[in-house]
Amino acid sequence: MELRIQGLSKSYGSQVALRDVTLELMPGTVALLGPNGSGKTTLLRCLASLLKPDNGGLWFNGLPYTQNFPWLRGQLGYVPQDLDLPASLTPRRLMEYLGTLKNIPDAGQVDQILSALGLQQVADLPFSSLSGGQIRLTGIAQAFLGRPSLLLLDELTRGLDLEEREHVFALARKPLPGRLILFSTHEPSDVERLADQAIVLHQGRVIFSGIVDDLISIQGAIFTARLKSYNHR
Amino acid sequence: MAVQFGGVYLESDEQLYIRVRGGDRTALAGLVERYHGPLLKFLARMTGQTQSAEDMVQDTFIRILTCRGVPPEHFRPWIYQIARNLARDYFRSAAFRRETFYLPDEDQGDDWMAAPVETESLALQSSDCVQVNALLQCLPARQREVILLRFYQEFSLEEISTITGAPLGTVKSRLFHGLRRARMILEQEEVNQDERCH
Amino acid sequence: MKDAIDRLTDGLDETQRQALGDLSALAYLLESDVMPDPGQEDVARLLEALNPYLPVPNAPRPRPPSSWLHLIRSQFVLFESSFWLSGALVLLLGLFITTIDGQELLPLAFVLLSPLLSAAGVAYAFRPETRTLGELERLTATTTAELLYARLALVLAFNLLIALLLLFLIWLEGPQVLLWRLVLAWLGPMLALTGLALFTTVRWGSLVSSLLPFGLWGSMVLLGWREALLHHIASGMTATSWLLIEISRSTPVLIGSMLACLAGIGLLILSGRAASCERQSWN
Repeated sequence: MELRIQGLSKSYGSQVALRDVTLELMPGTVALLGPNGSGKTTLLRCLASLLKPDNGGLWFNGLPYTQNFPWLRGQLGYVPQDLDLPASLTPRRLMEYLGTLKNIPDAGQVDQILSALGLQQVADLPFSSLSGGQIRLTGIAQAFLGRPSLLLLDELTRGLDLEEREHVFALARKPLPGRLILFSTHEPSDVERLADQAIVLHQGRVIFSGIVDDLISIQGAIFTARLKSYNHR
Repeated sequence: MAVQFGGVYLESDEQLYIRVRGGDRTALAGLVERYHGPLLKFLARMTGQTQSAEDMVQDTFIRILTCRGVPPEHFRPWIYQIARNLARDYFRSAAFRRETFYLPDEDQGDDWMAAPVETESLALQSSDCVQVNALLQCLPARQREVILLRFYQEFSLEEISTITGAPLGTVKSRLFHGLRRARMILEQEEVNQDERCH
Repeated sequence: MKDAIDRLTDGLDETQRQALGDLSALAYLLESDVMPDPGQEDVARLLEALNPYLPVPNAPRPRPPSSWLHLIRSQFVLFESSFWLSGALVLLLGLFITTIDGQELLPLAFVLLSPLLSAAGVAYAFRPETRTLGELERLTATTTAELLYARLALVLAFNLLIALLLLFLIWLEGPQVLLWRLVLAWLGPMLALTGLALFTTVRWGSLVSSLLPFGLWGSMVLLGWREALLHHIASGMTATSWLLIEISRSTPVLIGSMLACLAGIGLLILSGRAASCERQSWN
């Protein structure tokens, strides 16, 4: 289930968010890195078909995005950067609701995923009474429903404590043939713990794409310093 | 993960199937190449009828193409489950009942067992293939399917339990009784052959 | 041969293996059954036969009826309890007052309001949800049109239930009223306004869908009531009774109601198509 991005560009008025991004991603786990405003969220939203790029093409599994939206959206799992969920809903109800929309016959999957992320105690509490970390975990949980082939996770571990991160890593590491996970993060440890490959964006351009170990040897990338300082702890 | 081999990516069945769901003809050709032969042999041995088996292979693929649910986690047991269910439906069909004399298997509590072939007929078979077919058709279908899935398709008993929907203990029991019955039929056949020679 | 025997007995207990004895003859026989693989022509023939069944990625698959029920039930989580309570309150109040007063004025008023309630229900059901939930809904196998119709089914069913009960009550109080024509006179505007509310919601958002039906229907009710006030005295009836009889016996009202039904159904279908067009493109 390869993802091909060809010459992707997107601007918001005069502000250029993505410039001619070209990538080919094979199944695995890929970290998307870069400072704030580098285009990570824009790229993920384009890949999630929530944002129309100005130029360029996208193919998933050899099929172009533009002619296959209904099929494609059934293959996706997406966690947005900001999770604004109805206050009166509960994690379980949200999962069951989205599970119905995703045509998932297996009700056990909801309990399984909630349990894997340590949410079983709060599964029936409204979002208004949950912490930011618990809401983010719910956002991640719904993305994994239906075993999607393409997972797009924006700010994967934002607001999560150490234990919550471990739950996420454990779930993401469960093998699923052909699955591609693309996640953005500011945390070097997320990259080391989870990613096979990394992509670094800067001012809308790809300045690095390759395996994680190679990333450390790059000079000048804003992220490298943080990664090095983490390794020396 | 996709595996690179000689420059060609050997995708897993699951990966191919997801591509098939996306309308990918190449992926369909890949699955057909992998499963046409094994499924045909399984269904031919199950039913004893090559022509019916070919129709059932086609129906099996049609079912996986028209399936709307979530793709299976493990493709191989799933496709065999579909094929096996088609064979079961075939045995229960009116056409099959018209063509064969069938008896409900009171011991097994099922109703899709072909009438036992008389053991003398095994000796009349001119080739091992036909002899194997005759032997297999002597067994109740539920024992036959377990032996076929175990011996020819090399599924584990746990996988066979998933495919047939029977508990693991029942699968073991069917395998045991099926093998014992097959061995007894063969031994009886040898005795009959000795008697004929003398 | 040992491999073949192991293949046969793998998974069985040791006692079972011993009880089976020597399986070498059986294993040999089974191993000797080498069926030929299908030829290239057979494979090509099978592929040819399967091609018509290959999924077309962007073609929507029809949803089975049982799945529709499941989808409609799932929409309950999006409706706050206040929505259901307010509708039930309308019904109870209508029942209570009619029982005490014996007059059909208030039930009639509620029935006249129900197309607006239906339109308001549509606006509520399709109110701007949180952005996140709206996006997550779009990234599923369920089309926007299916969601639309599922929520509409809830709103319509609820309003239909309340209004039909109230209409029946009105008919009990005034048997000279032709019930089926009264129902049609209510159903036509109800469908038309609901269709209008839904279509404007899909195209322009909930605000327009709230204002337009209110304006249209409000004007019609006021005009009708004005006529009732002008003519009821000559007939010797209350304004309400005059209005009810007029509505249930008037041919122009009957034709108008039927046209309104058709218009409403047309608008509902157009709404689904408009929603489907969105589905086929970038959001």
